[in-house]
Amino acid sequence: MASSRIKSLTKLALLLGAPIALLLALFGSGVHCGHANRAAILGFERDWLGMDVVVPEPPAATPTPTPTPTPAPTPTPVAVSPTPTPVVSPTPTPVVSPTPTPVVDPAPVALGSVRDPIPLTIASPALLPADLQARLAEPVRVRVTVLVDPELVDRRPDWIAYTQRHVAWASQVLEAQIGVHLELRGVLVWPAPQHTNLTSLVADLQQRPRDTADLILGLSSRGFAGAPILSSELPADHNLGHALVQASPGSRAPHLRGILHAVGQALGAFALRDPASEPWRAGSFMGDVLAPDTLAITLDDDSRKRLLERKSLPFAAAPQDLEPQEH
Amino acid sequence: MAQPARPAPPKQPPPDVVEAPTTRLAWILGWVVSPLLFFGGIFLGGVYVGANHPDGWIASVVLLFTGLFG
Repeated sequence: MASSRIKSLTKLALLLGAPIALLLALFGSGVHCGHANRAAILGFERDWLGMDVVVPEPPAATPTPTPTPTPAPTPTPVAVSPTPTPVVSPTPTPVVSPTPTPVVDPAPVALGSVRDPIPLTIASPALLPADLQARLAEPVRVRVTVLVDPELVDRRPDWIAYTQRHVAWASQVLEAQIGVHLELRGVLVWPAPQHTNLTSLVADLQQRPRDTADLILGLSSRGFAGAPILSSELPADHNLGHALVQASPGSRAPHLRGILHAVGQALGAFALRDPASEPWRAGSFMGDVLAPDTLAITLDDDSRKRLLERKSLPFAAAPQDLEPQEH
Repeated sequence: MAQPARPAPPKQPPPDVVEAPTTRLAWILGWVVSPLLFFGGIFLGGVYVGANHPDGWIASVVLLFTGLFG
């Protein structure tokens, strides 16, 4: 009697326990797999799912120091000590098909610690005439300081790494298109910009000291609302020393097109404003910053020519007479 | 006192039971898709916990077990 009861209980335990054990084993194997491949999974969550996660640095990362982020109200600058990088000499592009083909170059160029590949499609630069090809081969280094909107600082715990990534990606695109290398000199919290319109934000940037940087970029959390219109054309002897970067919310690289657009405008390219124009529809970063991720990032020929001609000009070091106006 | 034997009730013809035909789609949904979703969801839930909460007690217990048997 007792043995039959024991047998019954054992059968019941097996009947219920075996499936539960199998499910727990399946869940546990998932936990183990997720723990072993944390970096890849978190990178997938950040780049493809748009989740706000911090991707751990790989164990063999280069020793670029990442300072601790400052509290938002404190205007203490958090400087990122740059790793000395050699001046990059972009080699002339070989024969390339004129139709844009997506090219993603995973090699880090702006900062040694950025190894993430660009999550968007980048079109191959078109072949240039001989005179512009020579200009492309001239290396130009632009030292950049980035002021980050406090709202972005609050929303993204990895705002410094986020800024580093975007500047590095923008540098890759600019090196391929016009031979300009962006060197990040500092990432600071933008001291409480109280302004809500483009004009005020740009004017605030204009007053910020450059320190050792050539160009100061204001990384705003606001979505792109049109490029600021300059009241007059940039002088022929220097470029603008400040630019506002607006976001493309929902993109896998929300500020990449914005940085390219802002740097392009600072270097003298004209913002494209006609949505029906061919360069706009082709995905030139001087056009729509809100272009979908499916459209490859490219640069129209006219803007590229103008940027190649002006890239070697010095940057304005003091507030200028140019009064930006909101679009 | 024993009950008198009662005559067996007349047998009624069995009702016509017609089973609904099982289509291929229903078969695939029931035997392939549903188990895949169920077990796949459990596995992916584990992956999420392991990646996003590496210092939690769940990951610690799992790593302890894998360390014993691994």
